[in-house]
Amino acid sequence: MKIVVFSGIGLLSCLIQPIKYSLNTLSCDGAKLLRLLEHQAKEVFAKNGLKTPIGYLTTTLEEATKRSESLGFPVILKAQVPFGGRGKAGAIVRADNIEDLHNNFDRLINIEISGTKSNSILIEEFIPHEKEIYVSVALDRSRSSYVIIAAEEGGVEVEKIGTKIIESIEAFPIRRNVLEMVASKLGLDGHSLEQFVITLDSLGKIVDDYDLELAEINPLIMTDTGEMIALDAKLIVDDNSLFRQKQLAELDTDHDTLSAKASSLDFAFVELDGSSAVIGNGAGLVLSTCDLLKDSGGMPACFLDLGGGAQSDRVLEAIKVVSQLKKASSILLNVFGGITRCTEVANGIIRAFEEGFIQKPLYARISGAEEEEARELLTGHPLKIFSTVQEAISTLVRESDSK
Amino acid sequence: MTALIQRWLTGVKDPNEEGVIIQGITGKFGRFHTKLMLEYGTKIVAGVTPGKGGSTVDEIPVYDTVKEATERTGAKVSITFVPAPHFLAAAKDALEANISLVVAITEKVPIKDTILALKLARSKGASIIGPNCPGIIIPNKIKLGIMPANSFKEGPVAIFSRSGTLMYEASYHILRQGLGQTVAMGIGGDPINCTSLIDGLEWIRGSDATKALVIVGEIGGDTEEKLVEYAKKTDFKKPIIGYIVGRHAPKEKKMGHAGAIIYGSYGTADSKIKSFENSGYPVAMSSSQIPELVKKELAKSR
Repeated sequence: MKIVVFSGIGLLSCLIQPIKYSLNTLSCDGAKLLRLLEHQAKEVFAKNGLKTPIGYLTTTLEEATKRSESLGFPVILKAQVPFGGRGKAGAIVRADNIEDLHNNFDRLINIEISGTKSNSILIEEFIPHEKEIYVSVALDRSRSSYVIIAAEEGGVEVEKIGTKIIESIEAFPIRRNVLEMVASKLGLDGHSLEQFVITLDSLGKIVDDYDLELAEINPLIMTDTGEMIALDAKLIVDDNSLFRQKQLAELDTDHDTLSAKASSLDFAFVELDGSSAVIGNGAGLVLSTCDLLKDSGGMPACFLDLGGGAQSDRVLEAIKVVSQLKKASSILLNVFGGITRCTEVANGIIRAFEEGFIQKPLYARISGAEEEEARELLTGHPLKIFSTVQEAISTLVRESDSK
Repeated sequence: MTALIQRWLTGVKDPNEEGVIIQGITGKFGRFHTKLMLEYGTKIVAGVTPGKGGSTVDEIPVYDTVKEATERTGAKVSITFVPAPHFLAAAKDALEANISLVVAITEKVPIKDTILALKLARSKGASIIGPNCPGIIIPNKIKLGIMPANSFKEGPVAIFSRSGTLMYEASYHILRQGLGQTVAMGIGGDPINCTSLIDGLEWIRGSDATKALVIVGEIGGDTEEKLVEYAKKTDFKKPIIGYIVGRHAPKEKKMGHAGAIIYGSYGTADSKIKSFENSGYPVAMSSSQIPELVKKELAKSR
């Protein structure tokens, strides 16, 4: 999958510095945590007046060599994977010379973090600096509002920062006096205070304009000339807003994976490490089923939520999705009939049998509305039906073990 | 100002004294659940769909705005079935017409819109339940939402849940063990719940009929921890029983609900379970275990 990000915001619009982004990949799993890759986030920054290091996205050693030489060593090599803790995972390296570059390039372009492979490396100029600041605009769930989080200590994970300044944001744009207060709490004054105020103001506007859950700069550095530059960029999009964030929605084009297929069918789907595909109606119910399965020694291969009020064709589609999950050697279906009627589920299962999509043992807990009728419908089909999920799980685990 | 539901639950006010408005009544989903709520006995007096004013659904008059609907009917409650892009406008329409309680069934609402709706509700002294929630039911009195009626019967237990289906399932297990509910509410699966567990706790504090509180929680955020802390700090007298799902969920993945996500050590099931246990509140490991824990607590407090 290759797409152009922010088509229309080309090279020339990045007036502040020549960040050049070519084709790239976006990693977004079916659980829809839409986190932009660093270079995508930096493009958003640049478009909104935030300063970032001069950098180039590269996919070949040849290109990387050319770019590094034009930037001048030392350069920073950053594998583009959408996860935190890249420094610790060895995904960010400083190359002091061409040998360093050659020694690290292959490893970095193939590095895998949390199952996601990097396909590109961002090569950036190295900027000497003394002061590193942490700053973000984040959703605070318990305050039901956005907050500014800032600290004098940057470059480490936010959780590990000792003293943090946290200020609620009443409304966007953030008020000038709030921006100034945070800046002075960070010990800034004069030119640096003004620079920080501009930076934080832009960060707030980005959150508002792009419907983000989080915009984080960690670290924000101050150069000896008093400039503030975002060395890293982390943006997480509220995926419920994609209907009005067309540019961001275009990023979400990971069509090839099973997760993408499931989410295009509007199922909540997360691939997991185990061997039993877990399907249920309701996110909480599926989560609880995965818990109980693991408690009994089984391992979920996926989480699939049918959603409320599923009709038989939804059940059929869900079974089709998990039938493509090669690592799954059994299916565990947990339906609590309420708005979803058990007979609809039964009809979906029957169609899946008829169309040949159930080739693995199916253990189904079906209870609630129209349970008896559903059992009758399913008579004669090769699945095991239980009234409690615990019985279904115990049987599944026992029969998988004996194989 | 005391919340409307608190007045219902403490018997100060009859839930069906004033009527209920359905926003988005002409859609398939809204129409279907209007019928089920009417069958349950909920007094639905009007529907609202902009542009469809003057029509009827199941003999219920439809208006273009909530303002018109409230002027004609005096309703104080609205339920939204409108699609997410229209939620904020619908909530504003309701709150500006002085609706006291908005039950937001609508799912996939942008967080920013939820925050704006909540701010407006607070400034008006009104409540919103949800969004992305199944609603609230006071068995035998009123059903404001999409929950299946047969999981609920009058009894001594209050249930607040972040998940819809688990609320139905927990309630069903409670019925099977001969108990029932004073109230069951789903607060919604989103990162922001306009009515928090703490708001719910205050609603039932003065309800003599409520003898125990069941909290069905899940990974993500810290609303369960905050509830436990608040209950202890304010000396809440009724027993609380917890049930938390997602004990084995991976990090940084949205597990079905937008709000069911762990970041680092924030939002883990472990943290929530520990906060209950450290405060002496029992935690069920499965929904079927909830009734026995409830019974044990009820026996203790007798």
